[in-house]
Amino acid sequence: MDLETSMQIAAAGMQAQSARLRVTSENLANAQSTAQSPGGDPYRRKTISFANALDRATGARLVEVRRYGTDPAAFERRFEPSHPAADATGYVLYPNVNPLIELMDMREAQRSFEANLTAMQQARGMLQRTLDLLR
Amino acid sequence: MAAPLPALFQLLSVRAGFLQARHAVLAQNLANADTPRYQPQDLVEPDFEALLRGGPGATPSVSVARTRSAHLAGVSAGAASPRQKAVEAFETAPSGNAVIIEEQIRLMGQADRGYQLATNLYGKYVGMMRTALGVGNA
Repeated sequence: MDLETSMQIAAAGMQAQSARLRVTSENLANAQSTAQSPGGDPYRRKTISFANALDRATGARLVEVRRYGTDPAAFERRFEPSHPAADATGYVLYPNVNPLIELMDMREAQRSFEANLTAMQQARGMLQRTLDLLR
Repeated sequence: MAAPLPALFQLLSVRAGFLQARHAVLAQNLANADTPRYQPQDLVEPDFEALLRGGPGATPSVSVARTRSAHLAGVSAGAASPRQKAVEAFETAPSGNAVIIEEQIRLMGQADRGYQLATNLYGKYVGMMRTALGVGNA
């Protein structure tokens, strides 16, 4: 394990966090996406899960996206008879997305991304100092 | 004073190798800061003092025994691959992840400063040798 490995691991971490950020923004963008047809199901919140992955070439334990899932939480029901997606009783199902949770998730992804970025910058600085020995 | 210098160079390069490996392990902890059931890892620090004194443990590498002169000397990772250890968790998230980002960043800063010290010392000693050889001003 050397500094190149270090940078590779940090890059994998940043990739995983940006995938998470993408899922979060998908959820936020679809926070009001109701069904296409009356009485149908609206957008279901997506989740992401990470896993530890051994990179056999370098022996480093990288991180990767294990799977994209969906949140089984119940949809929100609102009484809006004039809505095009309302069912026979006048209720519309809204997505189970809570913008507050999504924003917190986004902030956490951002912080983790920054931590990985710091790791990469530090590895780069260490490499630079090694090269400076040649001067 | 010819003998101590090569030992010092060896010490500094082993130290730099250790710090590089440690940095990689800490980067791994940071990358897995949101992986469920991940436990942070760290490295067991080799005995650098024994290495410098030339006492027991001066050559931490283990080599393959050679019974004939035609045998090749095995390549051993030696001190360059220190043992990995699991760290006892200070706090574990509900997902089973025990990585604390602040802690990892702090340890990383420690490794970074240690590396800076090792490379600077190495540079200084190279400079001293150059001075002794009369090319210090060149």
